[in-house]
Amino acid sequence: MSAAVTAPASGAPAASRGILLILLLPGLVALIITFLLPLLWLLRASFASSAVGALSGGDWTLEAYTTVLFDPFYWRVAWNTLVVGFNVAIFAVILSYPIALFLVRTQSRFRGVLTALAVAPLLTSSVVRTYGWMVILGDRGVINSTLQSLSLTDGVIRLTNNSFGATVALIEILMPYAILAMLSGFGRLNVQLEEAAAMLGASRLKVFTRIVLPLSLPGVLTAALLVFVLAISAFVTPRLMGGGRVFVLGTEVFNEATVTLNWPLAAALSVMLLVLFSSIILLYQRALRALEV
Amino acid sequence: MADHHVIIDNLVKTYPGAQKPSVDHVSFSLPRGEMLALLGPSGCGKTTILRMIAGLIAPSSGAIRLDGRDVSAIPVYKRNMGMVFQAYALFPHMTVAENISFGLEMRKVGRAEREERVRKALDLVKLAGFGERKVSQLSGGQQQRAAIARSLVIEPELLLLDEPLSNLDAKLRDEMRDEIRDIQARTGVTAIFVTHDQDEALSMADRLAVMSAGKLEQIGTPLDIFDRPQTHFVASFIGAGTFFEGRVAGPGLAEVDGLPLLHFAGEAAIGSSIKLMVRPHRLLLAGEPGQPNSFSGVVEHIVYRGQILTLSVRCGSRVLQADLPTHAGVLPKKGDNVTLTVAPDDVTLIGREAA
Amino acid sequence: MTIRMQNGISRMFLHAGIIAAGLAAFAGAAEAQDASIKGTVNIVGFSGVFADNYQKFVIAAFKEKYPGIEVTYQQSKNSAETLALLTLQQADPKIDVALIDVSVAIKANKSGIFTKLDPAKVTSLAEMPDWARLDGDKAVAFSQDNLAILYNTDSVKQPPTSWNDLTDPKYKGKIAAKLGDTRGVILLPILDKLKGADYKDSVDPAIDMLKEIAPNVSTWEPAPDCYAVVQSGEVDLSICWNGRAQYLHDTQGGKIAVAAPKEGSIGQTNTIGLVENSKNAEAAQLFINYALGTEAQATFAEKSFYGPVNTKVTLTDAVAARIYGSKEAQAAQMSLDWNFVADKYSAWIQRINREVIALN
Repeated sequence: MSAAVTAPASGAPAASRGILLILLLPGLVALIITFLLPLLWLLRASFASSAVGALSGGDWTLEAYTTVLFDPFYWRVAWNTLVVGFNVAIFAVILSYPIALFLVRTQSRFRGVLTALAVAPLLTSSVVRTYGWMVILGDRGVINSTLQSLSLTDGVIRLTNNSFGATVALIEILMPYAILAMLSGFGRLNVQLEEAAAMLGASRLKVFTRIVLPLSLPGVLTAALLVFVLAISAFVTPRLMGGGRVFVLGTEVFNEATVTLNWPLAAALSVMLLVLFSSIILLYQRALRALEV
Repeated sequence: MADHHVIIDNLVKTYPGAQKPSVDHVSFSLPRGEMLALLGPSGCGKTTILRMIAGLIAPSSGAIRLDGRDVSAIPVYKRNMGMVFQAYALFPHMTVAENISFGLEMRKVGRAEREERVRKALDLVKLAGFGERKVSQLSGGQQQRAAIARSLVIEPELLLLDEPLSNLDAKLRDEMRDEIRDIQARTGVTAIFVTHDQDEALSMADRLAVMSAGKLEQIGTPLDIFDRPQTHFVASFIGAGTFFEGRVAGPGLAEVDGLPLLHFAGEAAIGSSIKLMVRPHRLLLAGEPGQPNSFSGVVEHIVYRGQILTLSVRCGSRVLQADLPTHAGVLPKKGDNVTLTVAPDDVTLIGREAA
Repeated sequence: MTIRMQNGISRMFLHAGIIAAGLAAFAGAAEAQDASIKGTVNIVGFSGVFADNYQKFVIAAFKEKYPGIEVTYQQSKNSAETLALLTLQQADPKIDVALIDVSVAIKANKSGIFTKLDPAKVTSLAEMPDWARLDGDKAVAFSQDNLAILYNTDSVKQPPTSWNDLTDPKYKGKIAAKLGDTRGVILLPILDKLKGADYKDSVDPAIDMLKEIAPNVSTWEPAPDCYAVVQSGEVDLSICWNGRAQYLHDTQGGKIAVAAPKEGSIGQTNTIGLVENSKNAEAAQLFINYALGTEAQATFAEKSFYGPVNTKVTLTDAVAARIYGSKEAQAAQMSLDWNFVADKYSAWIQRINREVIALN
């Protein structure tokens, strides 16, 4: 008799859990095939020796990792990558913040159009946009030509084929991501809160620093994370804009994979990139929890 | 009146591109310590007036005077007014205590004094001990009390409340109505609140200002407004009533279609058209027929409301609405013939303005 | 005048004067058509202009000879991609013949991607110089594209004549040089020889010279490629491949031209190989034999400006000039011990990257 009493109670939740699992299955399978398996292959490859063919069932060796971990060149590469990542993240966020704030608060009837415009660059391939920057920053590009025609400079200012050009291009290319992230992260902002603060005696500056800024911080953090992660994995823009002088993890992985054909090394560098990702994400989650309201 | 605490002088607000002003030459004043309700349907301009007083909207013309000083030019954050928003607008990233002390911080009050005043404010709104709670941990009623504490702790010149009870459920509403009234009385702060709910206005305010389409219809005590509405709008907006239109036949006498002559109180030129109203609870069951203002008819509809029995009585071509107290002896039933009567004093003249 | 007979190419230049043995002799020769042989050959090779030329002049001619054999040509972006493809297919290859860079071929041979060619079937092998027959005929060099200095004809009125000109301060910021790949690997022995050193001993002299050139380099990563930046006038000079530059010179209004330095050059070498376990080994070897033969070699050289490898091929003066440059340059043409170089490939690129590029 007790079985008849308990069965319905446990049966219902189990059934709905089963249905949930079945619904999730296609997505899980897709994720496993396109994401998990290549990741596992990558890990396996990083432990192979650099002789070709070693990937298909060769020995396991730490050769690639010892190179990556003990060669000072790669420490510099990793450091460059982090520096580029931080610079791009900081400036992209600073430049995007006023834009996102405006879009979230404006009552204009063009709000939708303006938002679409801010995000529209994402419709263009980043390679095309990088070439655009080469035209703007190049030795005979828009900026140099203008400065010279205005007689403001004598020679050419090196704005591209270096770290500066790569950073500037990356900042602009990644700004739409920052704007999008902030737009969704600014959900807690509310005009009434600002009015309340003003009524309590807060000047416009105080309203910004005490109310708007703290409440927009989660959005800012998310944007910074997104841009940072995209920046440290970039390789097309640093390669094209860097004139071959910008050595970041992305470009090194590309070189090892396609030029020197040292796939295990390329894999090990990729793993290093993944480790960097994960640490930053952990930091981000900590920060977010600290801000939690 | 010129020495009143708050004087609103000919306030106008016309939004760009609008045909008519949202606030159309409104003037009223409050003595110190009074609680005034701005009552009206949505779109009547009451919230616009409140926000202009607060400084959140700039008036198109007119003046707002506090103790004689025109504050219209003073920016929001220097007006020293407290405002309780409809959605409370508590700062989600701060604790209750931090919320309350925010205004004091802006005024550069020292730490020790801040803590003391915050403590007192929490006591005032019966939230003692809630200081360290996060805003999200408070119930609706508690949030409102916190909002009130936050606006009062700065000892504002004027307290403004935007629809203070509309976000609360019925039971809390009663409780908070009494509390707000109590707090206001105890602190003696001059207060203006905006509401679309007449019960709220009638029960909480010292005086009501009834508004419609940007204009001030009537301002007076709850009794004045309720019993002696001066315009059709006020009469129909507040409480229920039966309306009569007719012509003045003699002093205090009106000819109304389909009814015997109505005796009413008030002056009106003989021959002019007139509007009159009778509140449902002023209609009584007649003792004998033949009294002035007697209406006989059939009970068409009955609604029992606990303390009150609402009758719809058909007299000739019209229906009269009467609220009878249920403790009064035998109560009519549907289909009964009844005679209702109303004292001439209770037949209110509601102006010669068209509806 | 002592002419160094280091390799078959030098020997071939001896015959250059003999016009009678030039192309014309072969142009009209009709090899017998053999329609009886049936089969399929699947080739993978480079894309772009190379593919166009190879298909038009080598594969088409082969198909005429052997109408019964079906030939497919699959284009690959670069040798690395081809290697990846072949590695993946190793157990069950769909490709029979692969055209890849020599250093990649050597790497591929370490894992047995290719198989030995049968000299009895591929008779052309006898006409190939020793250095071209790699890893025991598992990969055979069939073309060489010289590294050269390309210049913009509008802005450079006095074209450079020597590799040393690259250090001339008048080119400051005006050179594009992609050296982080085969180009750098080939340039080192060239510069070494300039400094009187042997690349097998050390490449330090070459690295030092690169450091002298470095201040003139505006970009080590010309985009989209080392030809476009010269064509557009963005840079005055670039260090790049001769074959493509000659083609662009002819088709793009002559804005880009080649200055073959007098000290001679080395060619980026492509090899052809028979894939191990190919299902069409017979037909494939027929093709390889044709591709390595004098007819195909001469025609392809003339059309693509890639240097031929077959020792029996003689070129007209005009064609030879466009492939190798002046007579002096032709005489100074080098070839490399590719097995040695393949070994040093990554190390040399690393040195270029870290000691030259990273510091400039």
